[in-house]
Amino acid sequence: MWRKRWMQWLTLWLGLGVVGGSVSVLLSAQGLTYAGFVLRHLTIGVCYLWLVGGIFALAQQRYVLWSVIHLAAGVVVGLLAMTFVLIHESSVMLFLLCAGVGIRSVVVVRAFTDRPSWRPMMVMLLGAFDIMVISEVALLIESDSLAIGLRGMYLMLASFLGGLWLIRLLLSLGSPVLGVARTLIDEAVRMKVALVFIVLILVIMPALPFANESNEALRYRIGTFLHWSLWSTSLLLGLMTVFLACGTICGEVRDRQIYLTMTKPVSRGQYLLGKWLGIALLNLLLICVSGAGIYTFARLMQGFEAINEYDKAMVYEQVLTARTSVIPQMPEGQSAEGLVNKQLQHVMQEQRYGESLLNNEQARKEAFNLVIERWHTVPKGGSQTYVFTDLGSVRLREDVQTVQLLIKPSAMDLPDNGQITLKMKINGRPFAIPQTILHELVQVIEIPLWWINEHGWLEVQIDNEHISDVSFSPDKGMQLLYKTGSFESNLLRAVMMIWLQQCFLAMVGLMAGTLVTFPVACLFSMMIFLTAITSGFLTESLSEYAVHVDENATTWQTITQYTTTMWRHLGTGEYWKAVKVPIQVMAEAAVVLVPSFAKYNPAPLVAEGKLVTDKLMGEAVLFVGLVWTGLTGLIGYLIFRKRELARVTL
Amino acid sequence: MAKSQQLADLTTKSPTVPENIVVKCTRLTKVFHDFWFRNRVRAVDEVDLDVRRGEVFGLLGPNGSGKSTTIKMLLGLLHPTSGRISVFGKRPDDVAIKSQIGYLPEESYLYRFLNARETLEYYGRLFHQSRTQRQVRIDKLLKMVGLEGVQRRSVGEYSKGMQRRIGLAQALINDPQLLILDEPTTGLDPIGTKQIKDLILTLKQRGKTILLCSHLLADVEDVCDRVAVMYGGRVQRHGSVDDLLTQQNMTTLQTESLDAETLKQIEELLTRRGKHIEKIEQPRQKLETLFLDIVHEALSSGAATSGASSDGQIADFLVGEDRAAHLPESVEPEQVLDDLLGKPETKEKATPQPVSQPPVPQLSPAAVDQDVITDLAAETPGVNVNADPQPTTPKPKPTEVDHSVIDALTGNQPDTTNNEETAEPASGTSPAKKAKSDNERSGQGFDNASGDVPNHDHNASNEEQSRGGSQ
Repeated sequence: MWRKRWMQWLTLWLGLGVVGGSVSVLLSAQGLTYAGFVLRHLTIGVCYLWLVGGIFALAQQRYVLWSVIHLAAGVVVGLLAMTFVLIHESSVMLFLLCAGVGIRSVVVVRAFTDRPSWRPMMVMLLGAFDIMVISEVALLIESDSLAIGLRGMYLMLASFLGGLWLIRLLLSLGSPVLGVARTLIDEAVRMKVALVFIVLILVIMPALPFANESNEALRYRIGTFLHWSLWSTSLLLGLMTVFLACGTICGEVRDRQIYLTMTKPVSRGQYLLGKWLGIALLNLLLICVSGAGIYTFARLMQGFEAINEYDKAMVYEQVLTARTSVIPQMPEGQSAEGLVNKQLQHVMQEQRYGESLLNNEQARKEAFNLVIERWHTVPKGGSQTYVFTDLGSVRLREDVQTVQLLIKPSAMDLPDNGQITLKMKINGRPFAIPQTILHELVQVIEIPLWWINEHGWLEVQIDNEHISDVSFSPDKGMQLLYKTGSFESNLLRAVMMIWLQQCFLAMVGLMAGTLVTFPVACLFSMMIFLTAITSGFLTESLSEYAVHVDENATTWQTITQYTTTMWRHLGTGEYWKAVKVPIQVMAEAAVVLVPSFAKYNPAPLVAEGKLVTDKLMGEAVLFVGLVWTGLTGLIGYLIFRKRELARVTL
Repeated sequence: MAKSQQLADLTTKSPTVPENIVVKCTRLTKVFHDFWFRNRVRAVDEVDLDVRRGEVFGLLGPNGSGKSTTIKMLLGLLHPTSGRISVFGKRPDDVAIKSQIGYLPEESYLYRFLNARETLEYYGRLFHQSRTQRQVRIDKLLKMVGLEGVQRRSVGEYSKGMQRRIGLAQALINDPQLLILDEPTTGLDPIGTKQIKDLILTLKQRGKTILLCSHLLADVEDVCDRVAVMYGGRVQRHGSVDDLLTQQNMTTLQTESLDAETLKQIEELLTRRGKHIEKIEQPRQKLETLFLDIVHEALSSGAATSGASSDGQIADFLVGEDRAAHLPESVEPEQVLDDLLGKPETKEKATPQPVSQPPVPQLSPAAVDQDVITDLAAETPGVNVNADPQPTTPKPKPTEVDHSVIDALTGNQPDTTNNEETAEPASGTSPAKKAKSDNERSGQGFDNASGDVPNHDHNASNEEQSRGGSQ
């Protein structure tokens, strides 16, 4: 019985292959190369599918029906591919074809296997060939981006599934913490909430490089891609983490699955730890896959068309690299302190303040800002000097040829061509600026290494030959950059920092879930996270929101200030302004309580090719990873420990 | 560490609670508040409960009488408003004692996205069980509850009965000393109910303690030693089943069918003694028994079912090395084959122990030799005469059930088990089982189990067996 079936199946398979192959050869020989090519691929496809389908069908002993289905599906795929070749339709149609093929694979595989853990693997196996065929057809109709995008998508999905399998294997020991983590990962993958985000990440990423096919310089396009991809990864992962963390605990308490877990020898702390571990591992996997995807696509993009040779070179020098930035110092003979004192003396004389002004912090601060601003302005016909020190080690390096001077000049008056005329001297010798300087644009001037003197200094003197004053913005308008690391390691660091943020977010979600219901927990977690990310911006804007906060006032004075302001507004009938005061109080309390994550955001750093410094990484690991995550976990544990799981509120 | 050692450690730590008391509640009260913290419902009111080691304790009462609430407080899912609880001498919050407790909740609170196997793996991990240990136990448990064929389907797609079975499996995965069952038979069909009852009895024979909570009185009556009846949060009456139920002032005689003459003589005798007969009737079979008979016949004739099915063997790690108790269910051809070819897991030298050790699934060499020898010596080749003593009841009869309960209550060894041969190869199981089923149908009961299977039936069973094998 079995033997007969095997023979039938084998005969058919060989027959198909031989017939299809020979006909396609004949067609090509007759000059119908396209048809021959398509038929060849069609035959390969059908044979492959017959092979796979046949194995499953025989295993299931439902030979005839499922083999026929598989054959039909293979024929359909082949016909569609042929149609597109002949008609040269747009890439959208091909995308629809991919979706159809994917669905077909899933349906067939689901019918064949009843072990759910095998199905993704089987789908990937079937999908591999389909993807290859379709991307070849895409290349044929010169839709390169689609082909690359498809293959990238497939590879990311495959590596995600592979990583998932590995994680499941690692978590298969007999420990409560690992058991809880493993079940959480199963939940994330099988319950559609998390899966949606996973699929979004894996699908959006490959589409991003082709998102803006503009005529911008390649280096800006790559920079934009890096920024968008890191930012969207962070956002999507954040959403997934919040929904998963809040959902798992709230769901288990609401559906009472936690009864069965808590009546086993698992402590509450172990349970929470297991949940957090599961989310952290899942995030780690997704971050790695996304990171690999970003890296691959970035490297791919460097092969795209650049607008000129300079642009092409700059991609390596400025974007796909990791640079440290150095801010300038005042030249010898001048010091910021001295200038501040001078300025204060001047103010004292003019405005008749007393000696105490010299020690007044706020006055000193304002004076300092003024001094720096003045230093960063080159007066018309004059010059200013900026000294960059500590470059001794850079001078001796062999892997780089230049350091980069980054300037962002702005001028009051501009000629018609928008150019700013400047001359530069480095260490006393004239230096020819190779490009035109434009107003309000960040520009990079490459300075070869041998310009650095023996002391490791670069003394840059800017001579203003323009029609008006030229100023550079004080924080980022004048800095020196040099390469300190590779793009790969920098991306890895960036990705790790995103992961640390997600770990914190997961703990916040779990903590919220132990206390309140799912929607409230989600909102709370997202609010915390947003506050954390925008805390720098928030502090600034809050300082002027309703009441001007005087930094030097004592606590009591601040309180009286708030209350008097509110009372005054109430008195004059400006109720909205009065309400703004307690809002400001609450917002400021939130900002104080919540950690400031603004500086731990790596996306802009990577996009500009700047190094994610060790110091930053260390701080992130310590504060985000250990301190804040630990604190939140502790709070969650204390809440959860005392909670009556079976309580009903009447 | 041996279970008995663990238990000893657990209980000797608290000198105030005697060692044989597993659960002790003293003036236990639970009051539920509403959102404004006003006291609203007194769910459990001054309840005093003792559950002793090795007994089956029933907590009865109508819906809303506080049974489930008491159980949740025992498990640490709720905090009592006042009163004291001790489980194995410790507070219910203690994490270590949970490794000795198995809990079957009233509704199935399982993860819908896992399949049966993964569910049991998860709970096994929570007990720190290693992979091999989990593997072995899960296989046995799935077989016992009859979900082997559907173990790869997600639990969310199971029927209610199947979900209860998985719940039961997870309650038993750690071989608990205290099994807490909340409405175990609610929602099960009579077959399942019978299986649960037999399981409870078997576990009790092995020395486990079972706390049962139900409102299905007939089921409880058959298995419990002591009961407490709750209403309105209070324990209204408690005591042993015998004391509560036996009508002390009456006697029932049960004999073979009597003719009118004998009846008259008996009546005269009684009248002379000053008593009179209140009722003469022919006893009725319980509807449950009739139902099970019909199902068994249908199964034997090969009717298919797509739901759960069980080969009826209680997993041996729950009952120690003794031969497993047979529950009345489906006999599949594969099962017969497997049995004939010899499954290594069932038998070993049984030493009566209060606590079952994790099973060592091998046949001891002595057993094998003995079987081979008896096999060769037997008149009918291929059938082992020693192989028969089937523990219980492939076919339930009312007499059998009564026997087991009575035996258990009076502490006698039931006829089934360890008294006879210690070793029994699996090969003997099935044909003997078939032989037994034939015997049952012809009206011979439980007593046959002690071991003389009449020779003439062997031929019949051989034929049936070969029929089954060729399917």
